[in-house]
Amino acid sequence: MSQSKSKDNLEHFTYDEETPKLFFLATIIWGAVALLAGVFIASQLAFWQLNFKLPWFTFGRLRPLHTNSAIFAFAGNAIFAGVYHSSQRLLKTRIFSDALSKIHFWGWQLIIVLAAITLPLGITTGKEYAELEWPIDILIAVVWVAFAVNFFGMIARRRERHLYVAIWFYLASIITVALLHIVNSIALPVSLFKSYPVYAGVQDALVQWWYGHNAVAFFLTTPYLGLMYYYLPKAVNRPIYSYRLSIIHFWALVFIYIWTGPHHLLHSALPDWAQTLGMIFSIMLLAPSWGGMINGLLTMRGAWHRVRKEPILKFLVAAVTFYGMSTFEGPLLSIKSVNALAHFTDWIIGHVHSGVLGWNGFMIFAILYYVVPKLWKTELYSEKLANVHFWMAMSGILLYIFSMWAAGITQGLMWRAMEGPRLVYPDFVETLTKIIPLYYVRAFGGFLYLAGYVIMMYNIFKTIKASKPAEPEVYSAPPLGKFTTDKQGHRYLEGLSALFTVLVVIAVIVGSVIEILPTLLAHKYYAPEKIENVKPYTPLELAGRDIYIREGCYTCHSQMVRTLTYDIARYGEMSRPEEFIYDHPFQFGSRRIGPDLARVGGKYPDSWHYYHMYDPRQITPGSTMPVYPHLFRKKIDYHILAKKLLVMKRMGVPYSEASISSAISDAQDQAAQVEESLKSQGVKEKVRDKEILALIAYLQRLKAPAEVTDK
Amino acid sequence: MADEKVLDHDADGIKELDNPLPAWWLYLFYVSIIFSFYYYVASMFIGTTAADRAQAAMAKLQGQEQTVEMMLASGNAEFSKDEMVLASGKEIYTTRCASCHAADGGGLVGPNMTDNYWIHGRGEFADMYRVVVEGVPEKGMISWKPILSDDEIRAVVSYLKTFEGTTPANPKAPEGNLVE
Repeated sequence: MSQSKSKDNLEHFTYDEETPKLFFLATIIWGAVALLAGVFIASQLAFWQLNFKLPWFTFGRLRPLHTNSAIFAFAGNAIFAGVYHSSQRLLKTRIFSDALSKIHFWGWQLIIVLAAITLPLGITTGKEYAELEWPIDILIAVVWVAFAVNFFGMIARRRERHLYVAIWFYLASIITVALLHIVNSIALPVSLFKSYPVYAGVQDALVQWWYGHNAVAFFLTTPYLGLMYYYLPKAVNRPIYSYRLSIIHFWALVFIYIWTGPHHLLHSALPDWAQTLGMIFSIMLLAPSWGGMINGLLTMRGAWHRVRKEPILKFLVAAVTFYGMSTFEGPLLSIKSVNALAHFTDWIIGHVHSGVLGWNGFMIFAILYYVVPKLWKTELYSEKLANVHFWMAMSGILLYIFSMWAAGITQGLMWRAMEGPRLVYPDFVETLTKIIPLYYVRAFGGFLYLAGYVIMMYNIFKTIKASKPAEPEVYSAPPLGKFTTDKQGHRYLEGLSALFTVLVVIAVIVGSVIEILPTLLAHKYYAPEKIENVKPYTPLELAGRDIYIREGCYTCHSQMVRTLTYDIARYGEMSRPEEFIYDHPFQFGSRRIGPDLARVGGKYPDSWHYYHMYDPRQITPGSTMPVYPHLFRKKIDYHILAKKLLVMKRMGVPYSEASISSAISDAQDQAAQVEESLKSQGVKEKVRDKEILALIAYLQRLKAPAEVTDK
Repeated sequence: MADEKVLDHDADGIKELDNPLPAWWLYLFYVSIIFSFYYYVASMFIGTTAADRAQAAMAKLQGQEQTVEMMLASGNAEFSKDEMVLASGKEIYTTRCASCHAADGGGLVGPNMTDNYWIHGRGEFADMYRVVVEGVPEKGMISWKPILSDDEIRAVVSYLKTFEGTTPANPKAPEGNLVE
């Protein structure tokens, strides 16, 4: 019996404590996995031998596992835990459906396990933070709907008329993440494990970064602001500094955030109007973001003396401060001239980690130390260990961020240094070997953070072990009364949950439509003579491209010569939007640990690529690229190629019926040509039908469009 | 703090104060909005596009570039025998060239440097200098002009001359024309 009614018109009810407990435990476990993966791949960048000779241990495949587990497993489970725990109390009602809670919890863990299996196997869409293939994407949508129904069901059954600011943030997050995930994941399947997104090239890039940046916004920011608005005043026991500030910064944040995605594509082939929108909205986002920081920090007035003693408050202050710092750094990095230096460097990597380790991580730790003793009805095992955790995590983050600033700015400056038409550091590898020492510092910083985390796990394990079973608490509240109009302004709106939801939807739709719609239509307006030179990939090149995606080459290599002289001087002709129209998905990349590859085609002979994939250091001493011996063993999957071309054709890539029916033999012929060319260049090993041939064919195809047709 | 107004709303025990928006925060917001509108209009409707600007800047830089003849004429067109020069040439060869031409000049991806067969020219200083400067892109030899300085190119060409007549471990078959 979860609720009953007594004579004094009070309803009596219990909260579901099991679901938040499960999600909190899942947070703790997956957090360890995400951090361990992070320390491992950071070490791979310092010491390439750690890639071993196993395909599923290479950086390109493990990096998506790290990012996905940090965002969706660690931060994600924490969101669900905190939302379920706090919303029941803020809405004075039990979670809507126990069955949906079970579906939500176990469904989400299943998704994580599937991700942990498929990503190392190279099953990926090649779109950052959206790498999971279509069957898992569908599962995510289903589980998310279960979450949404549970949440809105709670709102419908609430006993508290006016929605508190934490609920606004939860609501906006749930709606927007659903929108982002569904729009970005639309793809046509080739097989159970392979699909192509319906968007191509610049379109795909824009949709992806609209998604990607708003995953930061509506997965890592707004839910956490909601959590802050509940747990910070609870832990500090002080009133929220300013209700008015909550209102203004909530609506400003929700409206402005959605526009900022194009700042990931500054100086790229994305049209200027969209790039510039991305930049200015990022700048306008500074004040709304800081509104959250100010409200958090000023709520702590009168409790500062407690920060010295209480680890929970330490984590809260640090989390909110890191939030303020990274939301200052974000707009700074979005200024075009700063971005020209920082983009593709480790500065960006440092930036996201001050967000996820500093803001999300510290907020999660504060919540865990606050909530675990409460939920398990006991005391924290050791405050001292929690303090040790704090200082280890803090030192770890600082080492991480400082080393990445130094690495990013060093590399950025080396890339841009020119004397007249000549690059001062023409060898890419020179700009990499310079920053390797900093990679050791970063890996050590990550290790410290992980070590502190393990101490927290021990502390929480001991805390839970000491708990004793207790009767569930019974809460009382009067039922939700009729809506009255006695409240004015925003408070009035807070009583109308449906209207509130509609306004949130409108706020996030406006920016999305204005930015995405024109770009979706842009392909129609490209001059025909410019597109004429752009040829669809041959079947073998397409097979090679899918190997490129499978191996996660995009995690270290970009394919975007920016509109910057030093990019042009280093790589060749700048990238144009037309040349990507058949790229499902786009592969612009976001980090250059290796050089850009947009113009690598024809630069080196086939045998160069052959030796380079087998042992990069034989060709480029100092390189940290993994070795790819499996490409020399595995055979090209010719049989799927006709199907691949057919799917591409359905999305508008102009393959003729004849080219589809001869796809397999065309690919075999082209592979034989590459094989012949390798042999003529002195390669003695037998490479018939091996994947390396397809990859070489694809890499040699990466040229400016006019050159492709010239060959 | 004592005279701050506490609102009558209660959310699971959490109260809210009715403090105004901090003035500096509000001005920061206003200034960022005004700047953004100004910037958008200024950058979108005045002047050229980023792509055009980059193209123009590049053309200007390329205008300063010298042709291979100008470069060649600017110095001594003979193989140097200076030990310092050869040592620096050897270092450049080991780091840049050996991956394709083998450390002992025997050839691998690129042709054998030790035999008397030459694909481009007759093995004169100017012939080798031109190949290093301009590259042979269709064969995979890149142009080293953007990477090596004039002195470095002269040093490595001089070093190549020292391969003449040596016996490499795994010589690549001769390519090009025999030069007596």
